[in-house]
Amino acid sequence: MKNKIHTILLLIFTVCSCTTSQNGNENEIELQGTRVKVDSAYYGSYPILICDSLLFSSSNSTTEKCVISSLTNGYLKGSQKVFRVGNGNDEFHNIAITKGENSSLYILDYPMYCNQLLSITHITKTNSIDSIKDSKMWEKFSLIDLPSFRCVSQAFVSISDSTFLVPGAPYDAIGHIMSVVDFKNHTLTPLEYWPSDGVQGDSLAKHSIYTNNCRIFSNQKDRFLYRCGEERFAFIFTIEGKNIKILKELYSVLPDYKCKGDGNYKMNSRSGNGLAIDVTPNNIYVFLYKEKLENNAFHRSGNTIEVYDWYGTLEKTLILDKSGDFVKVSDDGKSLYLFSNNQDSGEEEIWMYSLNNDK
Amino acid sequence: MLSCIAAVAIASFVGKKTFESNAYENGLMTQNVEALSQSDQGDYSESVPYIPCEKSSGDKCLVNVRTANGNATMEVADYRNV
Repeated sequence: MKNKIHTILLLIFTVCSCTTSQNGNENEIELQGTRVKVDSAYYGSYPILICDSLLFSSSNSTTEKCVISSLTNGYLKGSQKVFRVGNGNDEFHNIAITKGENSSLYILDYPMYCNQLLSITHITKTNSIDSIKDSKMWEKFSLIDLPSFRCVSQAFVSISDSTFLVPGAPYDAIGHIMSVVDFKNHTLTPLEYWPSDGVQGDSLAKHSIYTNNCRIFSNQKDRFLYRCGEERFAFIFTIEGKNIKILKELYSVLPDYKCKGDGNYKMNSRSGNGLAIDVTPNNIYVFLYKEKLENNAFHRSGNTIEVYDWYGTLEKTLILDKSGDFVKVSDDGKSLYLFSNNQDSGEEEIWMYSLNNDK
Repeated sequence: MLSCIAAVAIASFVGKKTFESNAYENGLMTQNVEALSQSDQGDYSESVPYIPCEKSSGDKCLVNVRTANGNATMEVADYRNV
């Protein structure tokens, strides 16, 4: 009998030890930030991506959709508004931006009603802001002959020089949440994946909760990452034919919602926890934030970043000395930037953290 | 035709957004706004649609609507669906 008790106690001890190890406490690294000096011309509202030494931010302007700034050696300067709003050939409506091969960029244009894909523009000369703005060097592909498509996300990823993956689906196949578009052969393929959350209701509402404010990423090879816009739900996947194959679910907290019957949903409750993610070809950086209510608006804030490889193995946990609402990582994986909206001063702050010495 | 429908929809949307913003500033919660629109106020509740959004920085509130030309989604930056 005593032997049995000892065995049970030993098992409990072993399980507890494993749990502690998986929480990553052994690989927790504290980082000290340096304030990025920002010239007075910066007016981006939130970061979109970093491409080489350029930071792309969403613009508050009604005339341009994006702000590009030079981000080098702890300085953010030379900000310029780009991608003019309008119906002209070189103008845009709603845009999403992603990186392609060899530091090229793709700009996806869709209308303010989010019900169609309009065009995709390939920009290969990205060594300076002026070269990015030079529309004579752009290569634009029309997408208006594709079926009516619900496109609400500001994120998509390039798969090849003729295909991209985008959150959303045609309205006549709304029971999907991601699609592949071949913009040279003008085909649109919804991918087979539909979250198993047990919620009964119309497909448009369920499609909406899993695509509104969601993000997708890639390792620029064959692996992709989906992050839900609500709660903490994210998984690594591959595309196999017309199917999504989930390799690893990194976070499994699904949104708590109900379908309203008019194509929209209503949240039953929110935990207040969320995820913001950035990736490099080698790693996934998951910024864990909590939301708080300030000045009648919900703001995200956090200082913990979990770093995974593209197999979904937690490598380390970074604890930043400052709190913020977004993070971006440089292409080479050497620097991490924390974007903070200081609620006391009303000032936008950017903090830089070196990732060279955190091994 | 789509432009007209869109204009009406946007006008209603923006009007309601302004209404909700003011409601927040006056200390009213969303439920109170909804209750107010459903109260005995003549045809007021019919003229002001309920837009289920709350302020949330960095997010977008996206509401599916139907127009005569088909499906569409209205979006408001720095808000989210309730």
